[in-house]
Amino acid sequence: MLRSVGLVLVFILCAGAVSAAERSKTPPKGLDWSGVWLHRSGVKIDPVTGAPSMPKLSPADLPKLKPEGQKKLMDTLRAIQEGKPFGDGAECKWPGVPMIIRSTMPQEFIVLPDRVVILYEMESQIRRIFTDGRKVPGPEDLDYTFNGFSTGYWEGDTLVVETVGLRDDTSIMIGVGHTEQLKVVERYREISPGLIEVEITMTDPGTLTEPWKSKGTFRRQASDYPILEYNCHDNNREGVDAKGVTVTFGPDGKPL
Amino acid sequence: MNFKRIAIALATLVAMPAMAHHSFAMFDMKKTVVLNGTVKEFQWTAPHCWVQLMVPGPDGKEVEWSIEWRSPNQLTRTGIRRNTFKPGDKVEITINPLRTGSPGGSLSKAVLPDGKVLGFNGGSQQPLE
Repeated sequence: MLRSVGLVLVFILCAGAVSAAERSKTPPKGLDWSGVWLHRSGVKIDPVTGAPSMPKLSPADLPKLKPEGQKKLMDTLRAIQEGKPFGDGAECKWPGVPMIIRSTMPQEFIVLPDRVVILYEMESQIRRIFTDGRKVPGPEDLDYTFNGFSTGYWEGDTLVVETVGLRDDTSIMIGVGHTEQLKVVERYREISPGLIEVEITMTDPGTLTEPWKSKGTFRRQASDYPILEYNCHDNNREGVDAKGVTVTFGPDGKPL
Repeated sequence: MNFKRIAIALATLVAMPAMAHHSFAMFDMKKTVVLNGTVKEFQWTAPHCWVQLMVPGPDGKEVEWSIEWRSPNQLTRTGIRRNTFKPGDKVEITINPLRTGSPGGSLSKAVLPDGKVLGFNGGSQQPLE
């Protein structure tokens, strides 16, 4: 009897050790994600006409929305169908998480022993992902911001990032908003040398009827690939009027 | 709305974060206008570069056109620089015009004084992601 209790204990201890090894504060030895990475959107922009060609989409790629979100999305789609401009970021608002994750502007990963820092060219944004085991601030202390509060850990060679505290006036895709209940989980892994895949899972009981999963891939760029300053407010000559219609301004600041 | 068109529009929405800071719905992407004029100013700025081009109108009076291009970030990586267009340069620029009919549009093709041809994607003739 004592022996079997002992065996069970050994088993439990081993299982504990395995799960502790699965979640690490530090990356595996030899992991090197330094340098500049570029998201592969699958969108190709024609060099002559500027017309974008889109990747194929299946119904599984889309979020399952509650009725009010569905209505807003259909309104946006209708505006596009009719060739009408629609308010979609022309005011240079920061994209925030999750939209910034797959920005097609380049990004740089800095993997440190206690955190991962992502430097985005888009709006010169910075995300700090704490892998030091710190807790998310409690409900009274958590602020709701564009990029939220991100904690993370390493599961073998996979960086797992959990983000909460996301303000509810940003989007999860164009035409689809979210509530403060949004939680975004990103799982980054280098699936082949120079190619990182991210799996994104969003849960938001206020907007989504089930978690929305999507993927993206990033390719490592040459070490001299320029990552530049981008301040969208510098000379933004587009705006959005009260009806959500995009307006273009002349050099004198008056609508064209 | 038929399903195929909905699917295309949805793909646009899913992919948009990526592309630009606004849609191109204000430009008539099916129409082109060829402008021959003199560069007044090249605004090398985010989120878009702008070529201010003086073009003689039908009555002989010059009209200032505002021509939007991609961001300095995207263009730099295709070899475009802040002095690619210089004030006084005589150039031919093809645009997708504003739907409003105002003197403005999106740059589709430009021919520089030395004959060099540029496109929407700057110095790159490849489709850009």
